Amino acid sequence: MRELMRYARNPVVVAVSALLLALPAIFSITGQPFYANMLFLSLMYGVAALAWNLMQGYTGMFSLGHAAFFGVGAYTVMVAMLYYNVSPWIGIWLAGVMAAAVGFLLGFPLLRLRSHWFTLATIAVGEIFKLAFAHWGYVGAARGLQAPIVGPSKALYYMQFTGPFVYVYVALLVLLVEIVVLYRIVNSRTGYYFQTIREDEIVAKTLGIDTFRYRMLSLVISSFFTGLAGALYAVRFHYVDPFAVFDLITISTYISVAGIIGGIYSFIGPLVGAFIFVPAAEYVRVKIVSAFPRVFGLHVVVVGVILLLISLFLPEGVMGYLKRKGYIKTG
Amino acid sequence: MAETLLRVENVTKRFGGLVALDNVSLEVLRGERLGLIGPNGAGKTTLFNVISGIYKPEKGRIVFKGVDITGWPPHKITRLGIARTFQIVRPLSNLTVLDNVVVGALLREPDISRAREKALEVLETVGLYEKRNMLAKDLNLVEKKRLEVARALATSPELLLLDEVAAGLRPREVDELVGTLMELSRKGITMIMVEHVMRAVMNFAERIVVLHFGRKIAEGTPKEVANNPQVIEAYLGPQD
Repeated sequence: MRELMRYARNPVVVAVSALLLALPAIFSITGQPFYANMLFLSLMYGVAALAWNLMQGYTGMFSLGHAAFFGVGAYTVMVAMLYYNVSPWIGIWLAGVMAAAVGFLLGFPLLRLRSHWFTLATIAVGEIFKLAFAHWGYVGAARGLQAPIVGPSKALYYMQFTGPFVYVYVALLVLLVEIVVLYRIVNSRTGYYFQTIREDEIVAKTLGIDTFRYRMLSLVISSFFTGLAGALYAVRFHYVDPFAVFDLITISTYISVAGIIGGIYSFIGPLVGAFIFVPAAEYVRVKIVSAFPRVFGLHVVVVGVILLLISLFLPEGVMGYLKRKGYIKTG
Repeated sequence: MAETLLRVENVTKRFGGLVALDNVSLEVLRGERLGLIGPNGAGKTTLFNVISGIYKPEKGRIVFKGVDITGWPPHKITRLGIARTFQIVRPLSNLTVLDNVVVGALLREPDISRAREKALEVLETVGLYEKRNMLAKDLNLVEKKRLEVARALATSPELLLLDEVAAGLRPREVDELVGTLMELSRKGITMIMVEHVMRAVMNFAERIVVLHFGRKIAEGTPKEVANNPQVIEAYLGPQD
């Protein structure tokens, strides 16, 4: 904690934080919802990518199925609100708990697998969740769930604000909680044990580490915070459908691409990656893909090109590169 | 009479049709330095893997400190007090030398800063203190072998299994390593050394067990074993 407070006094960190706090207000005043939305999405993917990297970068478990936890989180907020009249202010945290519970249960089959077999299974899990939710009447099947528009007196309770501006602050709050919790974890014995498992699971066992338990812990914490990211999606867009929140490309893959671009062997890297990749992807979606409406899958091509360039020029990610060049010491 | 720390009873381990360990029994007393030798494929490393819980034996028992640990998972065996090194070194490559050892120390000392203090002491003992901030993958082989020992030691074991820690070392380095190990032995750590480097094992061990094709063929002081005709035959082939 003391170390975290030292970062809080670092001028770069202070400047970036101040900017993040000021920007939504500035965008709101100048009337630029597109950029405020871009900021929101960067934060949302950043929350998910940091969580994803607890598994990938720290524990060595490459998931391409984080949409399962993201989607469960998103649906939890909607179900809690629509069927149980629970405010999304509480629903967001319930979403984390529900996603963590799903992660825990999935852990029993998933954790029997390692390396690329594990990754393949996570893809399957994400796809299974998409199909299951698309056929589950209780959650609206393929139509999904939509929050009704409420009057101004109930807007705060149901978290319905005009435009993206307030949601950026909600996302910042979630991100802050996540950073504090994850930072403490990765700098504790648990964090050391995660990294030992990543480097060599047999050695981890012979050093007295119950590797199943710690891989499970990594999965559960990761799914908790990914669930929070999904919850942010639900409160922001008031609408969830299985093909959006369980998507293999725009959720699972985007999360991992953000992490890889930022640098998986860096604590804050995935957040940095989200702030590079998400605006780029949004720009492409809005400005380029819409200009070529008949070219399907153009956004995927763009993701592919970005990944190719990163693997060629910055294989260790942006933060890894900065560390290697000595521009930054930690992070 | 010192107490028996480890008892291996009639252990058999098969891989398909190959019998890697065939009804092997041995005892190690507390504080003892036991050498375990034998030609390649004799089953020495397999025995270590059985004792440390990586493999489960088909038959037989492993009793440590009076507790039957047969079939226990490796992490529980380590917690009970058995640590090991790996013949083919397995450094945690992308962690620093210090952090490699800190992970071991965290087993008994959950507090990071105290685990670090202990790790630094251990690094001092094995002579890696100066290299503590290097990444483990950047060490040379001699240093990686020492790191194996350091990491195992950091778990505060009562029994240390050393798997060919002297392989690839020059004679002077072998003597240094044996010196370090003797010092640890004086501190009360029981050790079993699997070794091909005779210079190491003959100087180090008080007693030697010889394995050949998974069977125990001889046991005794280094001198007795070196003059045992069966052992000579196992290493050099039939003598006429």
